[in-house]
Amino acid sequence: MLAAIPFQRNFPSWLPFICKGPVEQSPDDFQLVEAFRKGDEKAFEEIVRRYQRQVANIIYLTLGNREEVDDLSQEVFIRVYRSLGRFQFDASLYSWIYRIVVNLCIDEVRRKKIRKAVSLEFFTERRLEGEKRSKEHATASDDMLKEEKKRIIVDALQRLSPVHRTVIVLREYEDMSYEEIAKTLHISAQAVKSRIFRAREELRKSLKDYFKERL
Amino acid sequence: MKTNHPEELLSRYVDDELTEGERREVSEHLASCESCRLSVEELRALRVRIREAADFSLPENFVYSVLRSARAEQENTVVWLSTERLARRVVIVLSVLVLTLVGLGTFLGPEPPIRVDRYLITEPTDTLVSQVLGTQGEISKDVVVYAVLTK
Repeated sequence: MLAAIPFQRNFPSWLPFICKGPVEQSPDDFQLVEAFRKGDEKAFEEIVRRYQRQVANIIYLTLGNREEVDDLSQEVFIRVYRSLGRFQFDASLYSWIYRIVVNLCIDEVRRKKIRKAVSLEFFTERRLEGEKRSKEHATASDDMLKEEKKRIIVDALQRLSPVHRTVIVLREYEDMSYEEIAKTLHISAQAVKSRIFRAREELRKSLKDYFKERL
Repeated sequence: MKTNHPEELLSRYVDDELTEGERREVSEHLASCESCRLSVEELRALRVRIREAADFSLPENFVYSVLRSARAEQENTVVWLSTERLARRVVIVLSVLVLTLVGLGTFLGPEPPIRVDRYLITEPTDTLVSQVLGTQGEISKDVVVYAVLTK
């Protein structure tokens, strides 16, 4: 179906992104990949721009470490650059890219044994400390509390097993359907259902006190 | 009671992944169960919190550093591939050379000595040749010629 879309060679495929000229439609992923295969590196730049935010945040939520996100995001897109010529569109481009991200993250988790046993007491303690600090420093309080809330969520995600963490990130952050997740991770839809359910159960257990006060 | 709460269905309910029948069942249950309504609210809040936590932004020049690294890697690959190709050719040429030398050596080398028993097996033991050669295990062509002439 995608192959039937005519590729406009009158203008570079990336042109719609840098100027509002006569070309109104932005190129879809298929067109960008085709342009890249023909040697148009601007098409690759567009692919990076299109997915960099999602890629970075999937890595951040999965690994919970801001320092690593930049390097790993770069590694993801280098792998994309290396393999894009062989990409067959048997899945959507984003699904293929997310598969690279997920594999990289799982490798990283296993390699560094990042999973930490962060206890519920730890979360509560950190939250109380944050709230205490916020009372003392009124001006900075809002920002600090916001950051603290985010950190608690990211830490809670790190307590999940890598397989549970991956599905819940793709579902909650990427808003992927169960079918899309199944295709991306090459697992059954039934496995997706059960992993999402279990991941949520674990998260709710971890964040019980957090939600009790904030709902 | 906990067992009466359709926890797994609630998870799929917030994801809009229920069949029509399941949706009806959950909706009916939610109308009468405050605990499950709270659970649904909590699941939705969890999604909002996760999306809020995903606030990482890459630097403006990220795309250029990716391209730079990708090109550098590609150039290294090209250099490595050409080196590898050259090495393969050298190995092939050397192999051909060695095989040729071995072949030539086999065909042009000195003839191996002739075994007595191979050539004189039919010679009666009381002949002159046998007497001349006696117990010699190996003879050269010259000795054979000499033996024949002197016979």
